[in-house]
Amino acid sequence: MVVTGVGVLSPIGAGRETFWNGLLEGNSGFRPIRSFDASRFRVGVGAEIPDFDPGPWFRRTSANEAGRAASLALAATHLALADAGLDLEIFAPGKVGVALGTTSGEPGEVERHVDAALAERSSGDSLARRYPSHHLATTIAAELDLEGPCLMIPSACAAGNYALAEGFENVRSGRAEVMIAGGADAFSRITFMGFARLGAIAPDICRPFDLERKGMIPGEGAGFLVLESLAGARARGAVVLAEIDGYGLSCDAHHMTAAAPDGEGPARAMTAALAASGRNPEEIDYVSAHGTGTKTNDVLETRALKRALGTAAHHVPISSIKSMIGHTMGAASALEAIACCLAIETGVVPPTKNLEHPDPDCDLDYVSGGAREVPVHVAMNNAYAFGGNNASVLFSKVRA
Amino acid sequence: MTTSGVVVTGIGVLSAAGGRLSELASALERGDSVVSRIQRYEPGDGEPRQAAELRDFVPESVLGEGNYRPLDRLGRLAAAGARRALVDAFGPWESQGERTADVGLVLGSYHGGLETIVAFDRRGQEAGPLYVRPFDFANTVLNAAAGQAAIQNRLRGPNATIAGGVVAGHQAIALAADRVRAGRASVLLGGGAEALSRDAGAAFVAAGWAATGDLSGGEATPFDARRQGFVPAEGAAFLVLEREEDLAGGRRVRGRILGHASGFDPSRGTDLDRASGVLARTIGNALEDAGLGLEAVDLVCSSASGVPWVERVESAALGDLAGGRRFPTMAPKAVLGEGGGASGPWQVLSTLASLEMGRIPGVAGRSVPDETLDPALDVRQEARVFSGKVGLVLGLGLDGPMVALVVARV
Repeated sequence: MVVTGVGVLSPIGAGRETFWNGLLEGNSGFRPIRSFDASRFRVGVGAEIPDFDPGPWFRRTSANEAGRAASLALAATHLALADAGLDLEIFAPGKVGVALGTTSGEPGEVERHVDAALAERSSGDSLARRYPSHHLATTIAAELDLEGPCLMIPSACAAGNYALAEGFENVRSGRAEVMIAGGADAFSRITFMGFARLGAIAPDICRPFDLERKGMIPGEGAGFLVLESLAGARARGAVVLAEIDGYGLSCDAHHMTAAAPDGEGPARAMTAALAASGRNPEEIDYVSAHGTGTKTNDVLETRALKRALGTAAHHVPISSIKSMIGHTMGAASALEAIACCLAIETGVVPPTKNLEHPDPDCDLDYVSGGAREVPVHVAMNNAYAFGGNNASVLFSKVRA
Repeated sequence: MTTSGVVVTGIGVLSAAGGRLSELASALERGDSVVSRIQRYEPGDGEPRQAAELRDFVPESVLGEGNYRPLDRLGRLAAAGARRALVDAFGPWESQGERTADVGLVLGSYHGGLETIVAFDRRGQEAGPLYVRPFDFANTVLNAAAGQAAIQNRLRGPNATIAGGVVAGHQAIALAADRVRAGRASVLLGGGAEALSRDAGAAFVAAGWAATGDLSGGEATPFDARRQGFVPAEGAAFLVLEREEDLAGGRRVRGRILGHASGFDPSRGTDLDRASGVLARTIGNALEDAGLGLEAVDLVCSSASGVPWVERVESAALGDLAGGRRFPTMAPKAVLGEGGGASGPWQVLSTLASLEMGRIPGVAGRSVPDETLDPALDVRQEARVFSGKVGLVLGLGLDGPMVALVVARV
């Protein structure tokens, strides 16, 4: 199972090259919020995508029928297909599908509905047609004229990895020859309000694993990967970025918003991913951490990494790109998966930006001080979500 | 790829027709009306006035005493539905010890906790962002119900949420079956849940999908020429899925999942030929996955709900495949209503019950048959005796997704 193309819409730019160069240069996507009036909040910084015009991405259908998250997802999908050099026409009907993850779907539709209700107006049929989160998947499938599997896995902040797992299984089983898998979320006042109420948002920047970290920065984005069999990729002469070795899923069953303190659930997902991949911890060359920048997550994640990887946890470079693009919710682990693939391709790992004050409770190598040249043959992508949903995916350099 | 070898070892149901499979089957057999005027809120203009509503549901009745305040209605339904399935499969769940750690859950839902999300945002707009409740935020994420069900039942295996409109539950069962067959999990619950939402109801009417009025004239009766749309329903249902070869001696098998397939209609419900072509191929793929031909299908469980489009596509697809053959067909949503994520498991369970009992429920109230439909779907108003083993369960989304599941009685 291989990755042959990637597409990115992110707070630090669109497209694979801009995204990757931005990560390596330590660009920041944090800005004062513009999409809604944040003056009633005590925090006001987000990682929005400025000036996104959905119109040019819709050719068969209309941008007026789609919400922002669906539009971001479609744009990233187009970029991924172009990156893969994939001609959809060569596949039999029903053999190309989509698998998406999201945290909130189209919360903007709820916001418009509430605003309408407060103004004593009707919001029409939007909650039936555009709000249900599978709308993101159907928007892509309709625009690309795909008749294959059309799956939406709204597993919150781990949703991107869940979608990759679904894409992986559908190609592996033969239900599809190609799956376009990834995640998307749009910036929203609902999501911002919720995290602000939890006290989880930092006032200025995101500092994962730093002693002085003050929380996450909510963001938006879309990341998509083209998945196909190695044989299929080679048959059409595709350039292979990386191989997906396997994945592991687990559930804390502990608390909706707080992870179990022993890190057992995330550790179990990592261990399951290693077992499914037939690999041991010493083979991992890079870990893309969930690394939200909250006091709690970063400590628990450190604990979980040690639990799952043992002594290897102390040698492997680990970084969080949320330090630059914020927490893009359902897109996060998809964008982080793309970072893993590009790390494998280039032999460079992105930094954890803003990590200046070591935290003794986060005492692993979190790649402070800038991007680092590291030969990456195997990369692990970790993601953890509300509801205790944990997911780890392993990528590797493709075998000759 | 085949999902053969996957069996149903437990069933959990919450519906307006009852909380036991026997109650569900009896209601379908008699054509009971479980639809009544909505009581949880006062419907306004442009909203459905009737629903298959779960009256008097309290989570304590299923889950025992506990603190359920952090759970919204959807989370409570999901947790209770999962518990019923687990108890049916394994006995008292509190005494299962570490077994719970290996059990996972895949939950399908149409619009998740929409009621909670709307209330959360509205409070934030009216009172200010400092006045929203943190545990309400937890229930606004779309995987909240699955997470709450896992917490209440100590399920630490893989946990996933599927959003697929009215086929979300079908997709959840299909995904769970695949993972069990592939050995990714030893026990998975597959199913779904839905809670009545006033906001969704109004939107469904605006979309032309839900019927309004008192429904006494066949407005929400599947296969009736007078139908205008569906009746919303709420509830939950889960199947416990395991590999048959892994069962310890004496474990009861309630049914089999032989195969499945899914597809998408890119016209999103506007091109009949396109949609029926995709459905026909999806049915063929599901049967191939089951290692069967169309001739093996003894019973079709339609996803007809009162939205004319669904029946047109299903009858056209089977008409194209059947070569003149007519399939005995049941339509559980005629009694149960459109339960969103709960509909898929309700359909599977109803099909297994019919196959087991050798009786196909009729579509009560279908007094004006729609003669424009392809006759491939043999729908009757009265219940009838039949003999069969294999059922084809169809899930047809109103905006493109579709699923076919092939199930069999033991």
